[in-house]
Amino acid sequence: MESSFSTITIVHWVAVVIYVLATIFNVAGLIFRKERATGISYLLVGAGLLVHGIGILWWWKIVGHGPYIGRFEVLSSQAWMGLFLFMVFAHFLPKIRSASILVFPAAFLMIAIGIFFEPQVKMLPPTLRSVWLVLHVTFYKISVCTLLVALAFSIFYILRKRTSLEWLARLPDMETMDTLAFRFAGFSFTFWAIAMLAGSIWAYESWGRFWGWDPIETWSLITWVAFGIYLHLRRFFGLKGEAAAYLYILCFLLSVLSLFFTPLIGSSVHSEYFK
Amino acid sequence: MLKRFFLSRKTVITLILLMLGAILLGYSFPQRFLTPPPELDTWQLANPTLAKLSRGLALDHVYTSPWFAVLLALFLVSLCFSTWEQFRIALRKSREGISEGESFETPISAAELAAGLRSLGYLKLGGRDGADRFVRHPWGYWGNFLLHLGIVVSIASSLLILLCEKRAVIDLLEGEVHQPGAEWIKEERGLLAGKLILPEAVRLDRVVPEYYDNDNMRQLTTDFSFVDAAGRATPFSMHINKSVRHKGMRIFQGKSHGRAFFVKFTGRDGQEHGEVFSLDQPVDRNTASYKDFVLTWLPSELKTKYYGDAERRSLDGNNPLFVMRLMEDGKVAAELPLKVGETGRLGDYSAQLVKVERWGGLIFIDTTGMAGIFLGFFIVCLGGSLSYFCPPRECSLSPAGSGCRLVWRATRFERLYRDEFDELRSLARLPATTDEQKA
Repeated sequence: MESSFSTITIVHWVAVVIYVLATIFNVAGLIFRKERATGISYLLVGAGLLVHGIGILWWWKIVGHGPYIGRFEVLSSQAWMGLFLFMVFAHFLPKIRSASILVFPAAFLMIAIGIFFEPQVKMLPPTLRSVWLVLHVTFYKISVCTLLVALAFSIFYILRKRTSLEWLARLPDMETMDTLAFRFAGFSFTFWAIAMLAGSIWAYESWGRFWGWDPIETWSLITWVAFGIYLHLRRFFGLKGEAAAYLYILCFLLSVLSLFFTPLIGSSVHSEYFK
Repeated sequence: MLKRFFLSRKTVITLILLMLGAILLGYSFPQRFLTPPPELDTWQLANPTLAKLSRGLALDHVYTSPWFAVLLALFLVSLCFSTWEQFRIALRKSREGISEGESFETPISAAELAAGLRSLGYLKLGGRDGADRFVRHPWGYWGNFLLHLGIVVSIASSLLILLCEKRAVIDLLEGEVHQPGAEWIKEERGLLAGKLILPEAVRLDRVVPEYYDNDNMRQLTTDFSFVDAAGRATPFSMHINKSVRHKGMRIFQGKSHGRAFFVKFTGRDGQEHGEVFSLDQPVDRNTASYKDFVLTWLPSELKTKYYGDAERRSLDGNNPLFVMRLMEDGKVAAELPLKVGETGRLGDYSAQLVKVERWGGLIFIDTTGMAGIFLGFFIVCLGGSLSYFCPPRECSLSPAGSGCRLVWRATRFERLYRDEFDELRSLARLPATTDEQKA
């Protein structure tokens, strides 16, 4: 078992190195307008996803359940899912490709943080053995990917407005970036809602309570409402541009708090994961 | 007037913020249904002012308080008006023609261009003043309406649950019977709900916990029976994630379970006292489960603990170790470890561990509206998907000279769909707008 742990850790480090290289090529490609470097970065991400995916599947086989409980497996699978979905989105929506500047490093940072928490085998408790849990977790992971894309364009918007960095001129125009942030925040809102729906059905099946107001549920709802306010302000109050970008960043921070920090500070039915 | 008030942006934002504030209050103040009573007592003693405020404003049960129900109802009224408004907007957009947008004229016939539009996923939705109307993803008009409707359905259902739900918990020993109308160990009732009374007596037959080798729980199964007045038993079996329905009620596996230790105490004067000590299952084989008891006939406080197996070979062995400690002035006055059948001395008493049985928890729920919650959530998800994934793109085709004129617009995120307009231009054998600008 110990040797499997260290091999899986090594596989993850290899993936981190590949993703770091991909990030370097990607940033260089965008800043110095080198199409070839950008192309190499995508190839590297593809290779990284393969290596990383093997590591996750191997881990899955050892622990006998999907990546739902331990910090290591949650963060690692989050990174994989985020990158994979980003590549799919970027294929169909080429305008979002520049968000890779933020998505690629976010992915390798998540894996690295996961590795520092050390892989630990946790058996799946009976309450977590449900198809609704799989949907619940999957949709939060999808949501994180769209959150990152919206964050990238919100940050790009502010940077372009506040600085005169030359490479920013190569990104989509201001209005497009603003619209992309808005739309991807809408995607996140939808995926987050689906994740909460799956979670509430799962909770009802397990405990007879669709909503338990435990800290994680509460913060998840607060985050969803915050995104609802953001979208409402944009849709009906004409909020846009820099103010919208700052509000989005605030909502994003709230989502990070909900997903990654509340499991550490409060005791809840969700404490099975991340502690 | 009322409609205008509830639809005003200020009202809507204020209500959303108030809801957010209520949730934050519920998070900040310990809630009765979430916090164990001793923990709640400790918090109240440590924060007397906040505790007074909490009791006065029902902040210790925010989500079942009358003011939260009123807030939810106001929010619901506002949402109902918004939903109706969104319905009207969606209906109008679905019917009305396109009057503005980007346009071009082409010598290609309207019929040829219409066929091209259909191949790109545009559907013909009638026409007006000689112009045919085409829309790609016309269902996208209904996204916002569905989003609002879903929230209405969810909140209305949760309000119904808030008012009518009956929920109760009992812990029973194997073989023990709970009679209809008997007291629960924990009960939650909606604001308009009466006491939860079982249609028949319930008897706990068997509790079967299963564990992995590392002591994590694999499954917890409970066999129980409903026993009618004539003594006929209807058996059921449930486990975590598998509930049971009986006579309009749903029964769920309780979270807690453990062992009950039957101890016979004999004083120096020969007086006997029989006690049952129910303790939660320990978390692993090397960790004990603890519980303190106050017995009316015993002047000292009694602390107890137990290990699943005296030899620590498993979490759930046949030979659990039960330990009692008599406490006087915070110090241990006497201690007695016992296995089943053993007898020993604890202070002035002789104590015998007569038998050990399992106990388990059952949750009974009598509620309506649960399906509405999930249906509402589903509608929200559908609405969100239509709003953000399928913004309608509208097109109108009208004859112009020997060819036709095409007007196009995206109802949302237009900036992201410029390519589609260029695609239409290429369909009409015209250069893309960007190429035109270059030229």
